[in-house]
Amino acid sequence: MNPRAANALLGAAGILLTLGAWELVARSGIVSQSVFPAPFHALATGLAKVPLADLGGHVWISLQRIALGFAAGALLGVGLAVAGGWYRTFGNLVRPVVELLRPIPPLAWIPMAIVWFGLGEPSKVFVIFLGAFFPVLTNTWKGMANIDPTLLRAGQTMGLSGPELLLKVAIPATLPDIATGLRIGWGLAFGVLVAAELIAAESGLGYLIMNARQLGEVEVIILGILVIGAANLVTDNLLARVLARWLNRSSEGSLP
Amino acid sequence: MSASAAPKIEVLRVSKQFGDAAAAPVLRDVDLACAENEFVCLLGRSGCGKTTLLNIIAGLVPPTAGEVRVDGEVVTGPGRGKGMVFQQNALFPWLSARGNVEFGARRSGLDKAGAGRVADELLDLVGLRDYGARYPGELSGGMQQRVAIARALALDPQILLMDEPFGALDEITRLDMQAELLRVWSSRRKTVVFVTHSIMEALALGDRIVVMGGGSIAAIHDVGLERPRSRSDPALLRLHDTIWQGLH
Ligand SMILES: Nc1ncnc2c1ncn2[C@@H]1O[C@H](COP(=O)(O)OP(=O)(O)OP(=O)(O)O)[C@@H](O)[C@H]1O
Ligand SMILES: [Mg+2]
Repeated sequence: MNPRAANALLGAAGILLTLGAWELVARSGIVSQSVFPAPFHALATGLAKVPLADLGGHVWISLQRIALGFAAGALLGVGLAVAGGWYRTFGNLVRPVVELLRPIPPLAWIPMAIVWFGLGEPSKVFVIFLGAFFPVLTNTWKGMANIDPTLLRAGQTMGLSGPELLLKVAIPATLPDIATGLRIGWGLAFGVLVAAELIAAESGLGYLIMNARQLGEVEVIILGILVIGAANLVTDNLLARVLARWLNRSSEGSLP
Repeated sequence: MSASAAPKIEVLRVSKQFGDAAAAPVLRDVDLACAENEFVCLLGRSGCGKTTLLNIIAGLVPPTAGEVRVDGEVVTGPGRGKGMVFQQNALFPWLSARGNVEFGARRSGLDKAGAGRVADELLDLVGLRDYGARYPGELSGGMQQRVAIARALALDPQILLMDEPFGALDEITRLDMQAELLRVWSSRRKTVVFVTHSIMEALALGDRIVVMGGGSIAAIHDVGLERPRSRSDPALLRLHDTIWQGLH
């Protein structure tokens, strides 16, 4: 068996073991099933209450919001960081603003987002955008700052300069860091979305969980939580694959 | 080389100082002329300014005073006429070996098909025909340097600047690479400035050996021996002693 398949198998075994242990503890009666239901029981009951089609709808709307906010954050994050890393004056102008805004948790923006964009889609997408934007920006910026000067010099001795040097040497050299930023940004977009949906939404996975809490449906809460985890796992894996292909083999193993 | 021909490279009273005027100069009034197709070795201790001088010739670093001329024209920046092989790790890690060489060939103005042909030819020349698809991280240090040489040759520059290109290699690979470089150089003549801190390497390769010390040129030796040179040739060993004593 190749090592990759072995690792995947090991990972699957870990998940099954955890679920199995949870199932055992829950069924042993140490804690009440209404507080801590067994996972397979919760999944079955949850799915009975929320049909697969509805669940799929929640996943779909959540993924759409994440994709939109992430795309905007990634584009602006990469663009700003590449420009700031390459054009020093512009970089020095922008950096303090970024450092000022970066530590603010995206969730703190939710009230402002609602004031600006209302309760509809744009406010959620905006909060996700913030979640994705900063990790993409800081990783790309770091990558631009740490380009091996020898690579730039090699490019220069081959007659490259200015925007051509940026496009053909600096950006390719930064791709591994951009990819790292995108992975982290995707994860944050996911986390931020669910939190945003907890507060103001009528659909999506966050809404599903929050609504279930109000109805006292513990099984649905657990179903929702597990689906969030699974959706992130699957999409993050897809993203990792796309990025690995995109990066060729130049940075194998450098992703978190 | 004929002594009467105009020099290919002229270094004219070049000085270099990093930082403010109070800092000690790294290079002081360096004068040097290299004839067309000449193989010149720059030899000296670590930190004596060899890389700095090479970078100034390449146009990567501006001199504080003086100038460098190539074909009589003042060098104002790097360019395709001057290929450079760096000490190490200058290959683009996102391109395959062939991709790296092709990159150089494309920069010399060839179209995709032409660049591919040149890349294959040069990989063949440096003995890496079967490794074109590998990425730099999948090649040994010696192979990487051979790819770097192929990439520099792909530009087809008239001048080849080499900064301790074999410095990171083991002795055996190093000797192989020296022989290979001489083979390449004799098949496509170029003016070579080769930086090394190995006296033996300078003696094996150079038409002339320029010994640097304390920021200026301490001595220049004409080697004047036929290639390939035997490392036990008494004339070569005598010159080795002369250079060694001159360094103390
Ligand atoms: N960018 C720089 N800023 C300040 N000082 C520098 C810079 N580059 C080189 N120097 C100094 O100039 C001197 C000569 O450096 P250089 O790299 O030219 O030496 P070298 O002869 O190539 O040495 P080595 O054999 O170790 O490569 C050193 O003292 C070094 O500290
Ligand atoms: Mg050096």
